[in-house]
Amino acid sequence: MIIHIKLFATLRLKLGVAGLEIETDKPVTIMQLLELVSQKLDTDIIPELIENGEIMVGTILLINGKNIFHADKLETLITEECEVSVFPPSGGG
Amino acid sequence: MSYHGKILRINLATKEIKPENLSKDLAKKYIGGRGLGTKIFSDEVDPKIDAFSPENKLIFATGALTSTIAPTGGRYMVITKSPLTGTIASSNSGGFFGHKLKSTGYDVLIFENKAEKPCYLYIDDEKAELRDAAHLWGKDTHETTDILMGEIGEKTAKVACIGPGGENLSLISGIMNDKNRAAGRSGVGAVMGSKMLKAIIVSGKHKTLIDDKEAFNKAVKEKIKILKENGVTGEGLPTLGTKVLDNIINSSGLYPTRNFQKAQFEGIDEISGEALVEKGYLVKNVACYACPIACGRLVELPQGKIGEGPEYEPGWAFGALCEINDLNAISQANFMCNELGVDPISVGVTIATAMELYEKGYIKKEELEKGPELKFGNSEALLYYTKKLVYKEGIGEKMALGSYRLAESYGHPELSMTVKKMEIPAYDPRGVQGQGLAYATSNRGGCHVRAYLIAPEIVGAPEKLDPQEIKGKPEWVKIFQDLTAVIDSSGLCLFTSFALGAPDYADLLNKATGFNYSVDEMMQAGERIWNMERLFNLKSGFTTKDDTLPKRLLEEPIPAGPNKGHVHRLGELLPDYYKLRGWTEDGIPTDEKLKELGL
Ligand code: SF4
Repeated sequence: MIIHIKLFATLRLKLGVAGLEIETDKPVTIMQLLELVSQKLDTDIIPELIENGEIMVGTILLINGKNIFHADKLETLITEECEVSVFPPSGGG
Repeated sequence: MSYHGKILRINLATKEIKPENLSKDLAKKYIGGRGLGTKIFSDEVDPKIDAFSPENKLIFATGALTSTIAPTGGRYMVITKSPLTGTIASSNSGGFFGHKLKSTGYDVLIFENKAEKPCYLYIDDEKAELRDAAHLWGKDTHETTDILMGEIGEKTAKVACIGPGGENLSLISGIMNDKNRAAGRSGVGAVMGSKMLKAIIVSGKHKTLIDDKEAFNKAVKEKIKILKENGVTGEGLPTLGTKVLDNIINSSGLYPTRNFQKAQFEGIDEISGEALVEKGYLVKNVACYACPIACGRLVELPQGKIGEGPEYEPGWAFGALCEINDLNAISQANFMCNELGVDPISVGVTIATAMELYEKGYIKKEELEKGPELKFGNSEALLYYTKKLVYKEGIGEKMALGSYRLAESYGHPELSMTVKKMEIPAYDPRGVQGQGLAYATSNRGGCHVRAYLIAPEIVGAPEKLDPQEIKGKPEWVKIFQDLTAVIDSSGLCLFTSFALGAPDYADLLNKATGFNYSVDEMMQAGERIWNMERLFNLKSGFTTKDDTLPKRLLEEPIPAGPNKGHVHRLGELLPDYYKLRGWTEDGIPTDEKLKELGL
């Protein structure tokens, strides 16, 4: 399956990458996905999003628009093609 | 205490200007800014009056921490009866004007009555004078500011003024200070216009006295550190400003599009906060007085025009809501609103309403008098109809009255996305249940800054709540409403609350005022302010029927995206909210509640 990843806010501006795709033949958790993304980008993006194993206040991780916080958090399993949106702690209006 | 203890009363008809004392007890009970201003206003003004009558008053109130070194301590509040909603209006603004206003030696200005001819008020260190403003009438807010600064010749002076929007009594006009900062909502600019008061220019050197200076300075340092280390206030807001929200809200499926007919916008990549940076429009970020966050944007468009913004809300109103993906046109419309002195949120929503009325055939092509078609997606419409609205030309005459009255004039008020006739901002309540309750119960109508539930429900600060859950939401709404009343009365910016909590505000207030509030007492002051505003609205004729949302949001499910199938569940939330507030089933504060709050 293909997972479409979109990066936003300071992460996107720092890396100069708006999106990428990860192909995998078995289900992955969000945490594993973030590791795969870091490998592919050759930059560890995890410290921008996660602190002491917890999702940082303000970090938003969405699978098809649904926040993983209300599923199994970082253990949320991806089993089919989807879009994952990644926002580092950003802001409000 | 951190007040000068002085109020200035200005009668615009008789030109009498009179200083009065501010009682310390009143300041303690109502904190300052929004609380104190509303107390003075509701004691002096009959809630039933017409907003444009001479009996309406216009109050400028600084907060307990305004003009101190507290982070973001530069704000002031405008309090009056709103001509748009008929509710109490309190409209808040940053920049440097609030700081300078307090430096004159006055904490509060009360304008009464109406001038016969255009005038402006000049205050220099307690000396106040009403001057003729014939030469300024008709000028935009930037020209007015430049002319006044030239006339006064004091470089540190600051100006708040209205533009043609307020002069022409557009019900969606605001008051602008420091050129691009706005007390924007509720039509406060039109009240100023009805009084023929074009501007206020202030200068002065009065320092705000601090009760325990050493302890206060230490507390300020601590709070700045918290703000700097927080991901939202330390990095996100400084880098991308409020427009960082475009993608967050759109991806989450609650980004109102096509006048709330949809909740996601295909054109997002062209207009988002990221696009503003990537297209090279962003020059730098700008800060208000004493602000370590600096969320403001200085923008230069490809044709060379420089201005501030657009912020998230105006960018959305002119963008997704009208289905326009032209960031240049959106930015120009925002600049125009600042210059002409109208509220870009309300203007954008009103244009989107007109577009739906046109789409459905209620507004006929002939009515546009050869102007651009009011079609969703037509970027030419933005500047053209913003101008028409300000100058009340053609269909602009109806649009100047805001979305509700426009839709009502065609017999279709249900197409207006408003609460209490004020235009709803950029979060679809069907995707965020707590924010929807906050809109429905806001004391000034459709507004997100009376309780910003997006922080917990979407951003996850201070903790993450499920936006579709309704359990516990009335409690959260009440706490946010009361805490926001405290922050607004302190003279600080609401954005600090992404990182600071109630004990931080009590700490700053206590060290500056010496009032020694416990956190509970401070929160109770917030609750008192909320109930006082509610009482004003009830006396002016509002009932529980007005605590509602547009039918579309209660009955038509979101058609697609992450929130597909959801409506707003107000009917399940409102009774619990009233109960929690200590109000009757009809939303009226009980005698016990009023006694408890000392009202
Ligand atoms: S956070 Fe933004 S709006 Fe608030 S005081 Fe700072 S610059 Fe002004």
